Amino acid sequence: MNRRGWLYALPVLIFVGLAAGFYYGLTQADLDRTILPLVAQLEK
Amino acid sequence: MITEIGHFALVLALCVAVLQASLPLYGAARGDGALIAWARPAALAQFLFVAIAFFALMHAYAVSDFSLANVTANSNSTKPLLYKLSGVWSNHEGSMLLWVFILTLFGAAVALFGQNLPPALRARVLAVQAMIGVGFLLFILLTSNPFLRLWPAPADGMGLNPILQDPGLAFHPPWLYLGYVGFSISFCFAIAALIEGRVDPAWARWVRPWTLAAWCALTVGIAMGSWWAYYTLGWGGWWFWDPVENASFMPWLVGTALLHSAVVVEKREALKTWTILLAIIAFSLSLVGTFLVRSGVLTSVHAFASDPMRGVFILLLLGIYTGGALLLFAWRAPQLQGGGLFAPISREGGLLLNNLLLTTAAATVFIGTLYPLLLDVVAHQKVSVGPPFYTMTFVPIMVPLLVAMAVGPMLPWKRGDLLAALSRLKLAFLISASAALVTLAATGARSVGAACGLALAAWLFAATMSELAERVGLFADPLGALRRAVRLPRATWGMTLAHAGMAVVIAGITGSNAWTTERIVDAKPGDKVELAGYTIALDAVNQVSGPDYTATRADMRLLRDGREIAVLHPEKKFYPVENGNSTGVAIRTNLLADIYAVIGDADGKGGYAVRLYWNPLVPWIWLGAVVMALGGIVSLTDRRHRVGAPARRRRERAAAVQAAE
Repeated sequence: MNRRGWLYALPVLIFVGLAAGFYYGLTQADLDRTILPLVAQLEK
Repeated sequence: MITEIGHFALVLALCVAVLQASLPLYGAARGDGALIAWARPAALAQFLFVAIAFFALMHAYAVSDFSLANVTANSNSTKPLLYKLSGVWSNHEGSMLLWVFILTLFGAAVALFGQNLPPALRARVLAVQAMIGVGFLLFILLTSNPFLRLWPAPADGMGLNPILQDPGLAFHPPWLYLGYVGFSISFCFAIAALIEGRVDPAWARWVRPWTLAAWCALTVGIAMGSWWAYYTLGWGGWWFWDPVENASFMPWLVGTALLHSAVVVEKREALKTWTILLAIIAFSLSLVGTFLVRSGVLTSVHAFASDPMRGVFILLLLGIYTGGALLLFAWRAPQLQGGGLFAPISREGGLLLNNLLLTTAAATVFIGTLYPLLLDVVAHQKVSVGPPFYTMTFVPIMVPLLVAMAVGPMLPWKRGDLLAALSRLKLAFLISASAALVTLAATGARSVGAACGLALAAWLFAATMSELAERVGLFADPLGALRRAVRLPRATWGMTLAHAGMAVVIAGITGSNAWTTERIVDAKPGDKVELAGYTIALDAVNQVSGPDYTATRADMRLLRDGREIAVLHPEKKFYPVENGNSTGVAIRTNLLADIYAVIGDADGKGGYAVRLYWNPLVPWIWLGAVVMALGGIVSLTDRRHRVGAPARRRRERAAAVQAAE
């Protein structure tokens, strides 16, 4: 694959990284999911 | 029985979708007209079956059929009919069915109105769309089936979340989904173009109306959501950078970039691969939004399904559709032929800058949305990414975008002269500077930020109007201007309206951020509260009853210089079935500012917590958004964008020839 070709493959690599992160985040039970702004305000 | 018909129709829709996803694609590859012709009736049949399923579920809600677990969990026999019906999409299962219903609606629209498309391209577009349908129909049937029965059926349901018992629920999700799912058509066109290995101006002309329609719907959907949050949540705010708000905003930003880059493909055959990538990303961000809301990976006011199984399933779908599309892009995009060259200072250059800034803005929002989760995973640290982050990062990206938005339409294609364009904007610059000076003079030096914001809004609005005035020759030949204005392409009117609407939105955001005044008081009946030159008299507080709630209702008089302007009735509602509260905000607007009143809990000594806000220019946010969406609709009616118009003309011409013979 030439240099230009690798550039076109870059989105795939970014997506694979993101999807792996999503999977890890999804299956990690001890993550704190309630730290986001609107939820924090609702709980006030 | 009707429920079983709905359930069965959903299974039939899946079967049709499998055929639609495979046969036309195979036919297009082999040039087999018979198989290609499968696409159209299959898309219509898929829509019909999903519509039967959707209306069967709606019927179950309407008649309060509590033998359905979904109806029991989300409705109640005392609900008004509007909330029974809109309750269909108030929950995970029903809203996924609405998602697929709109997906097949768009598929049917392409089948019906896409008769000017080459048959092979249409077959590929519909086949790719059916692939998305297969995934989501499987998702519904295997993990989120709304037609599951309960036995024995309970006597009554558990009701609907009080915050959702609002007319906003009837309109906000469908419009938002029309936008989200509408981008699937742009996505399908992009995939079809990659398969065919051809992107040309005709392709851009076909893809633009669908993108525009989705963009209009998403604009309306986001604006409605923001308006709903404003009058329901009772804090006077209208945007909270909640993950799910962000999830709808990101496709909007990328979709806006896509609309503009498609213009470059259409006019100059440049930015082809970039446009394809944007089409893939716009819909992928819609899928990411669906994933964030449905999976439980993030908690938000909108998140109502936290079943990891569902999350993994949607992640799998995301992997197949986005991952597959990006792989196809990596393989096929390098083979697409490059298009016209252009100088950096040119209309194309301006549109490219617009694209870079919009996609950077979308990336900023994306990082802000996922950063807390990332940090928790990597470093086990808790952070909250709220408005300060976005003010620091998003606003600096938007400012150059808005400055450039005024200049871009002044530049010619291929090669332009920046100084010449700027010299045509002298009047706009003067108006903008005057707006800043007047703001500073009226409100003092502490309003520098507000002065800059209003100057920016005035700059964009005045420049947009200058461009329109130049186009119609308002100053050169005022008498003929109206005639020329009527003859202007509707797409030009659309652009003018959308840019002017954006200027109005900016003014609204600036005003509300800079000058909102808040008073939180403990008031007894008979008390008077001063707010921004108004007097608000709390006359009485009563207990009232609604169809399925009781409420504490205040009678407030709004006075200016002793004269009564309006009577306000804020409420705090209590829903006994759901054992929950909701806020009924009272708003009095004069379109320049809102008076916003909220009644809270009793203090036990005869007083009540009362929150009052004066929100200047806030109505302009939604007014501007409506003008923007209107711009999109006007642009859609342009002769060049009307889907199916050439085919209709051809048929009419053929009929005329036949009649003459």
